[in-house]
Amino acid sequence: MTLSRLCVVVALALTTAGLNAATPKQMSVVVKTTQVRSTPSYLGGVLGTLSYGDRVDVLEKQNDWARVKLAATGLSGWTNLAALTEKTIVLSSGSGNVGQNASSGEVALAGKGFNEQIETQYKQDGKLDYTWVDAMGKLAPAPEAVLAFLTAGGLNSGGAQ
Amino acid sequence: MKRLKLTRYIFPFLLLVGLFLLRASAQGLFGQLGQSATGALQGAGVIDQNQKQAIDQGAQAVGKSFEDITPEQEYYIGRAVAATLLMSRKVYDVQKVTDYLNLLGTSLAEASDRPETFGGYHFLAIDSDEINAFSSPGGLVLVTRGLLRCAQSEDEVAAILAHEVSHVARQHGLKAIKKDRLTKAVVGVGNATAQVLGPKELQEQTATFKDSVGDISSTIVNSGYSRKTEFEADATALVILKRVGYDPRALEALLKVMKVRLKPGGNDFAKTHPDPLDRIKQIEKALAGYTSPTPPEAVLAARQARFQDALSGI
Repeated sequence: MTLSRLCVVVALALTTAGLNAATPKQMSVVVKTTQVRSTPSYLGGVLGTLSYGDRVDVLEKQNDWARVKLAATGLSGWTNLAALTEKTIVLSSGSGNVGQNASSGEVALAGKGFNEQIETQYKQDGKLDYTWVDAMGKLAPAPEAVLAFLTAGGLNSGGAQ
Repeated sequence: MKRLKLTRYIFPFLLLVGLFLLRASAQGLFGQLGQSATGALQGAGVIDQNQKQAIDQGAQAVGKSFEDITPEQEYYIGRAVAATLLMSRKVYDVQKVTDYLNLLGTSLAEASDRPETFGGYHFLAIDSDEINAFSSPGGLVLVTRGLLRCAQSEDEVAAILAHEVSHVARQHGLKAIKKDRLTKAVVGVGNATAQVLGPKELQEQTATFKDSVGDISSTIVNSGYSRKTEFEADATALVILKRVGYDPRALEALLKVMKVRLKPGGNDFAKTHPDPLDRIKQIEKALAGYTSPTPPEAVLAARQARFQDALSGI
């Protein structure tokens, strides 16, 4: 192989390495809880639930869905990408080198900025009543009920987009 | 000849490596340069220590935008906005209405480009004759009885909720937060790694929180979003309605009723939204050439039956 060809191969390898880096093998759950489903759709049966900060292996992607696996429990299935981030979520300051990592942009520190402590203080200062806000947060129809609602109305699930 | 080949390949290669290295070091390098520059200004007596600190902090804050607000922070902001709105509004606490709104709203949210938020989408009716609706960041959606009464079919209720889901999915509320508050909101104050803030930091951060919540509340209650933002929410709503299988023209039908019922000078959509006729014009443009779905009679009847069952007493 001539030197010039070697240069081309190395340059190509560098470019490919850059492209591979754009598809991380792990992602973190960025919402309070999200469901793991049997198919890449909201029609898919619920196999289990992931929680905020859970770090999952991404096995493949299909449209807006990722097939993930939580190593700790072996739970595996499809999760909507809206619930995942490429960043690592650090839930407490006790874990690892948080300060250094948090400033790198690859790690998000849970509870940074506006958080529960701020909410408690805000509620107290403004004498705000959160009763309905808390109740509202619990208004979540069961996935089967949503599916039945769509079917009875001759409608499509969001996953069928 | 060989030398020519070498120049042909080596220079582009070196250029590639150079660009790669430059990209990797740019942020840190410029950050350092910025700090040295302010250090030099301070050394020369042009600025004092406080001013240097302010400039350095400002430089770090460059690029902080509403997009840097994490879903968790958005969740707390949204809860506070909803709590603020509910201070002066009474919930219309009727189970079948709440159930219906949440089944319908969840179906629509799941078809949006942002089907999941930190705390999820939730819907409640407000006991008011006003024609109004509010979407707090993160997905807490409030709709008045007055607005629900304008809807004559499930497709039209879907149009109302799809418009609100669109505001949430596109994070229109967060965009109303004034830019100078964003750094504190996103990065926090004091020791960014501390899990519990000291009294002074807590007070400072709570004040920023209150101001941010105020920015959003006053926008959605008083000044309204820009016309462009409202048209964007309508356009996004049309997409969601189509995806789920509702007739997007239901939004147009709903707006026609609203045009008749909204009173000029009213303290509701009349104040915060573009004239329904202007919105209809934009919708007609977006739907030009579109053929509405034609579901079987039985399906339409089933939708109408459950719509009436849930909302006939609204």
